[in-house]
Amino acid sequence: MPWSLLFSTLTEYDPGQPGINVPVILRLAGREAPCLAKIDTGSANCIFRRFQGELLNLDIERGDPRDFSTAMGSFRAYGHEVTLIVAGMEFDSIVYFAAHEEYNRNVLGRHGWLNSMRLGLIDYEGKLYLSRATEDVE
Amino acid sequence: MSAPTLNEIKQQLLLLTDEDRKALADFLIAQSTATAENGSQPVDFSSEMEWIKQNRESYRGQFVALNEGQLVASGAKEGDVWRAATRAGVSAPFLAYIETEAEESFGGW
Repeated sequence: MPWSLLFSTLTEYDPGQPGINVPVILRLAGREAPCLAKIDTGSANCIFRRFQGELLNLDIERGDPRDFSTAMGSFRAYGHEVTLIVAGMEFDSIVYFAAHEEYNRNVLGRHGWLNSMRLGLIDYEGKLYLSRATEDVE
Repeated sequence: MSAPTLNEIKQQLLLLTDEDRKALADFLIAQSTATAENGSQPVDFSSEMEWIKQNRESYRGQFVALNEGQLVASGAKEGDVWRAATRAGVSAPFLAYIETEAEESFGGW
């Protein structure tokens, strides 16, 4: 049985890069931190570099502490509520900022982003179709 | 708009003809579209993404600060890169880390 989905936005990315990298803006109280982030369906949360949080004037360690485990060990990050903007779609989300400066990835994961989105991917064309999960597209 | 005023409008709407209601619906849709178009235009980073695509090989292992598709600053420390960009007059540069070839072989979490 065939299925069809409708999306409101098409974003193109470079399929030559190893990850699916998209531009993101983090916003808090009038401060904005535009950056590049990887879409990672395997990540439970959105996790960003510490510096991105510092640009928003956040006191990183005052956030919700959480230890994230990976195949190579674990690292600590702190959750803060910020506005996350991807392809013009804004969400107030809990985003985690790594405690250590050595952590150098920005990741869009499930809670806070993917679970608010409808997402279609044609990786060999570098095409990413997006809508809000609750959006009616006609 | 307060609730009583909205209710008053709704009561008035019941008195409209079908033709007037359709005209009103068209007007509201046009207003909504104009607000969406003028109120929150998504920021377009396509020129920054194109710059990264074209220049990735030359900046591996570095942070780059971009503005309107142009390189503003680059270096190993993002704080230094960001400060250099702001000194150059860019208040919110687009910051990206260009992975090394080894880092690109990321196996996931």
